[in-house]
Amino acid sequence: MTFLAPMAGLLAAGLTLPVLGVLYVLKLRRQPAVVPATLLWAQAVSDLEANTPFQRFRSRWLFWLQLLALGLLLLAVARPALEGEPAPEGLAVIVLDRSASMNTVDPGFDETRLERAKARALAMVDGLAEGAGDGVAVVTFAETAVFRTDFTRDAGRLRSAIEEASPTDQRSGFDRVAGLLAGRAEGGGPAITAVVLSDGAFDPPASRPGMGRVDWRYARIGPEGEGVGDGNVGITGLSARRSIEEPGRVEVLVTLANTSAGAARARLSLSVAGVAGALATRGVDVPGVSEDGVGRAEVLLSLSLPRSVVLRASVSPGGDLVSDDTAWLVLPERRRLRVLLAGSGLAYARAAAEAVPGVTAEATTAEQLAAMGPADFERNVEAGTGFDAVILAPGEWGGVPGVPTLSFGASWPMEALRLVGPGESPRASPVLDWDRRHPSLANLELGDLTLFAPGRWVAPASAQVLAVGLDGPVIVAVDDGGVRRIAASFGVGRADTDWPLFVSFPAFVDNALRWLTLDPGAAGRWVRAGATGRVELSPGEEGAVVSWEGPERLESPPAADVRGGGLFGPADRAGLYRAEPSEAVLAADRVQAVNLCDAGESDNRARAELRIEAPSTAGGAGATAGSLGTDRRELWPWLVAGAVLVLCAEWGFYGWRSRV
Amino acid sequence: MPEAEPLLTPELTSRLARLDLRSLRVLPGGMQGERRSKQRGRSVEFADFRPYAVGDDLRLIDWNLYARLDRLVMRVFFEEQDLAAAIVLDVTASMGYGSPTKLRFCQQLAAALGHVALSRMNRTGFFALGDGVVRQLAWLRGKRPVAEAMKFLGSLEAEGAGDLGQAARRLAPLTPGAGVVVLMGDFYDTEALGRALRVLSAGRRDVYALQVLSPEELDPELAGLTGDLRLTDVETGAEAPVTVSAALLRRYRERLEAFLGRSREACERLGVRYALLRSDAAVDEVVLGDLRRLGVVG
Repeated sequence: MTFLAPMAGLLAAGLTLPVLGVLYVLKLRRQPAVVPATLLWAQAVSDLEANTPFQRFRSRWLFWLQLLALGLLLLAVARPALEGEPAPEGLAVIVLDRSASMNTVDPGFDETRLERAKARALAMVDGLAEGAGDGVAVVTFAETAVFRTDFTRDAGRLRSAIEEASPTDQRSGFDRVAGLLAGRAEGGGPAITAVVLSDGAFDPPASRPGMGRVDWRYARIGPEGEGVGDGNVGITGLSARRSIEEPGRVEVLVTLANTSAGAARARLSLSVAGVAGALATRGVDVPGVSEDGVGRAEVLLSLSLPRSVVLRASVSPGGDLVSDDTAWLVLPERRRLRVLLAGSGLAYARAAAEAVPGVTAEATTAEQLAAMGPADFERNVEAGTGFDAVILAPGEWGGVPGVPTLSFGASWPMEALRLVGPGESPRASPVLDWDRRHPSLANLELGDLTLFAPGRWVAPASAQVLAVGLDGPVIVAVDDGGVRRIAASFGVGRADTDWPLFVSFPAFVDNALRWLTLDPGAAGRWVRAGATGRVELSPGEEGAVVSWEGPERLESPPAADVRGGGLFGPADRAGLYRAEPSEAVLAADRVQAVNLCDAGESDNRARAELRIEAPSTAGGAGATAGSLGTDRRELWPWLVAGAVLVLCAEWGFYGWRSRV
Repeated sequence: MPEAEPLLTPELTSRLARLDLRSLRVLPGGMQGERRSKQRGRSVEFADFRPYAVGDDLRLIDWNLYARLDRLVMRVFFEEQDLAAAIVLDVTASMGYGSPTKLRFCQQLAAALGHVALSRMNRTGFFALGDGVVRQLAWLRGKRPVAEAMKFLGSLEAEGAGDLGQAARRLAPLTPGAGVVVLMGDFYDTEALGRALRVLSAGRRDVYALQVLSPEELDPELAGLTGDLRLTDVETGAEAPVTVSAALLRRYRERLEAFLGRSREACERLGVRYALLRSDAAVDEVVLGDLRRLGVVG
């Protein structure tokens, strides 16, 4: 409870309380009356004998009642007010942030930010029950945003929706909230007031139509005061890759972030999940927050891990957010790739493939390839049979196997994909442009090579054009019913191109094979909380529903692609999840690691304001969401009413005492 | 100006015709009247026999006894004398209180007693006491001065203050040594009342003390006294700040009872007949009831 005018109350008290006291010390002002004799009255009234202007104070009910009434009036003058959550007005949305940063326990509080946000949201709903409002909806967001209720005035439904909001270790997808509400507002109807109960630890949402019709109100959930907090040190990145030269050697890269003002000394520990003892520990000095943002430090560790393991990285002390103190990574055992080269004219390609560590290349003819069935390609690591990918030589192929392919000047029947030959007057072509972001072409320089008579691809819209020559696309990547294929419109013989003379060619073959086969075992893997991962189901288990036991119980939907894969996630909480039944999933995928690993969430400093990019807001470029403020309910009307009641009681009491 | 209401109504006058003033004792009168006295004299009421002495009135010789005893024996009769009646009214300011006022009631009562006394040929004096004897009308005898007495009584007004004891000392010389004194007042000063009664009851006077209080004094609730009041004594001007409450009224009634008890006790100690009268009582009922039981009239 606060007083809006405490000085006025004190001043009034200073003026009136002494007056009341003096009135009781002074004699009463009395009505004159004449009697034949005061003899009998004098004997009856004890105060008859007092002739001084003052009398000794005596405790009287009337005095205390009047003092109580006066006290109530003085309190009313001081304007006491109860501070509470303002009830949403009009069409309102309570937006509840349940991202990982909301798991922070701020100094001076026993509850997480999410629990505090829920309490404030419930208080708003309580206020809604008393006040007006066209309807309130509840939206929760983390990686995704969900309408928990439609617009309703049913406080019970709103309360249930708020109470059911569970914590997650996911990132903040506030942009999705903005899209959700902007889309709703854009559709017409009354404007929406969005009350965002969050710490604001996310990037401003993108501007989009309809944003201007949403009145954003930011209810900051964080520590009291700006810059207050213990700071947070967390793991924002975790990766591991086996050495190409020495597959039993694993390089682990851990990225740490520090949100405190000063540098933090943290202890990083790497261990095998479920096994006591650490594989390695490092003391890490993580710089504090600077103009460039939160302090970061990277730690590279080299470990000898020849077998499949689940790595556990932890940092201590981790600060006020626990979700990013630990991260897990599943490192499968490295297996060799078996690649089949079909057709002639692939000498350079074979040399490049055999140069890739861990790759076994075999050659075959077009006729033999045509005679092979799906079982011939089925990969059996223990038996060393089957193939992970096929490299096709130039020519027209009647069909391609159901495994990833890398083709050079080859064509095959595929809907919407057609290779157009160079024609009668072919011309040499450089590679004019290429997709440097694609994993197969990353860090490669193709500007120097020459294609002597390349064809061009007429590719479907879903195809990725990786490289473009003078006449059109020369390298494309397509998804052929869930099977990846990279197709070049030219051969790689001496008469076709000078590319094999460049170092970029074997690098391209290496990258392409890794991308096509997803390079199982080369790198550790984990899934971000809220994201979906792909798992390989055991043969015959296609379509099975797999349960995942971990920090929470998940159920994977049936097979998602023709390759017999299944889906994992999305998981709310970070941790290790184990498949149930385990036989339904290939051994390498039976354990899934889920991490937060997000620098934005680890930066859990509560933002003072919420920037909103709204086209119609003043300035256009962006505006600050209004503060939610507090709902002050002034109590003076109740106090005045109470004073009146007390005065009535005093009057009644006086009348009862004076009754004759 | 409306004509003042007469103190006595014809109905009351007719009912008073059968009454006469009484005294506790047989008191000597100053003049011949209708009341038996201890003195021997001429009347029809036989008193005794005595031997004849020279010079006696021969008409009083009992000749029958002379025939039987052969001695002259005189028949002696009681003397019939009148009675001196002093009707005394307290006319201080406090008597103007009440509805009707105590003075008005006393005026009516005095008129009734005066009418009775004068009708029975008693010497009657009316005295108004304030600070001393304020006014008097004495001594009247017979029915003729009744109207004068009524006029005198009607002219009395309650005003001023006075000490009843001192007033009685001034009154005493003005009244015969024997007779009836009817004292009316509110007697708030009990000590002064005691002094007055001692003075008046000296000699051979039969004194009756009639204490008259208004209904408002007996029950202040009727006067509408509520709340915080500053009471002013109408005679002394003394002020009493009071907060009238139920508790205070209870204490007032207790004090009133005690006060009346003291007044009664002061009277009884001196052999004075005492009666408490309400100023709103009917005069005829008081005269024919209370005063008859008290022995003032009969």
